[in-house]
Amino acid sequence: MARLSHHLESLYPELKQQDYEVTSPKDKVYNCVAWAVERDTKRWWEPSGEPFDHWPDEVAYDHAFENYVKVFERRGYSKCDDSSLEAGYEKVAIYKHQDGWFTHVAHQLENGKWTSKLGPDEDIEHLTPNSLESADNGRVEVILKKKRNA
Amino acid sequence: MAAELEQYPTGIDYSRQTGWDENNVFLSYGHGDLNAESQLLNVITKSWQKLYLDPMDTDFFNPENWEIGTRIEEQFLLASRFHDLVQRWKKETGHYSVVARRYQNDSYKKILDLKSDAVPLILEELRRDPDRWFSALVKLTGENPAEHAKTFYEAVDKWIAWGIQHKHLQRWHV
Repeated sequence: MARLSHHLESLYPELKQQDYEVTSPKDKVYNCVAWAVERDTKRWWEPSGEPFDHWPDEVAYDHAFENYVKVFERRGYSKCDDSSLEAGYEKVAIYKHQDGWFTHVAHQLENGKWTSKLGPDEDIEHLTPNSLESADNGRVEVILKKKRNA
Repeated sequence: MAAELEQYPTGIDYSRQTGWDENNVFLSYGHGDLNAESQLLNVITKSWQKLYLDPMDTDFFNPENWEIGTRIEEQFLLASRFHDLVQRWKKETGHYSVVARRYQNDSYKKILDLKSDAVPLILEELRRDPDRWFSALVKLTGENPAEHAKTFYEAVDKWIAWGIQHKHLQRWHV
């Protein structure tokens, strides 16, 4: 089974302790937001100022953490209490660094596992959102859910 | 000029930039196996070529060549510092999901502090391992040949083409 590089594993100590699976090659073109929102593998979602990066028109063009939450709220997600698997619902976990930056978002699969695109690196499946909490990523700040196929 | 840029003069087919080989090893354009030392060696070699010198035929004990020797030493030190900063920047931020957060890194700021001297080195690094150098290049050159790029790799290509046109890079075939 493919593994992340030693460098990446060292950045996510919790992940290293658990099972995880690499599910794609590295790709600099899309990021975790693109992947979690709509499995978009053609664009990097960020209000970066670059003409080729994508950001939804209905959300303020700003890196404020709340705007990353709004990306999902505008798509029918609402805040919930925990990351447990609920029949008929899909969830996303949004991570925040202590310095205030949005850092990552993971998306729950129907089998209860989570899928994440790691920056410009690989996609992985991991067991819990906590797997990717780290000094760089910070902690899961917000969990949102919506009905599947809604 | 615009028409020439649109022809992707670097000749790189970015549509086939990723894949897996038969041994399940991931391959990607730009992820060359150059280590830091060989990158530096390339820069040094280019500095000799740029000055039309052959190190084997140059007598650096001759005072007439001292100025040139000093310039080569300066280029070497600049390239060495640049590659050290690049390695640190990529190691510390290369995995981030937010590009703007990468620009807060101290090593990245120190690269910008190198000002226009960094431009040829950034372009060479962009070609070797495409990364988010566009904002830095705009700041350092005051130009933006990629302002209408539709993809990341199109922006890479526009900047490489710009670098070739402005003699910062040599034409290169892959």
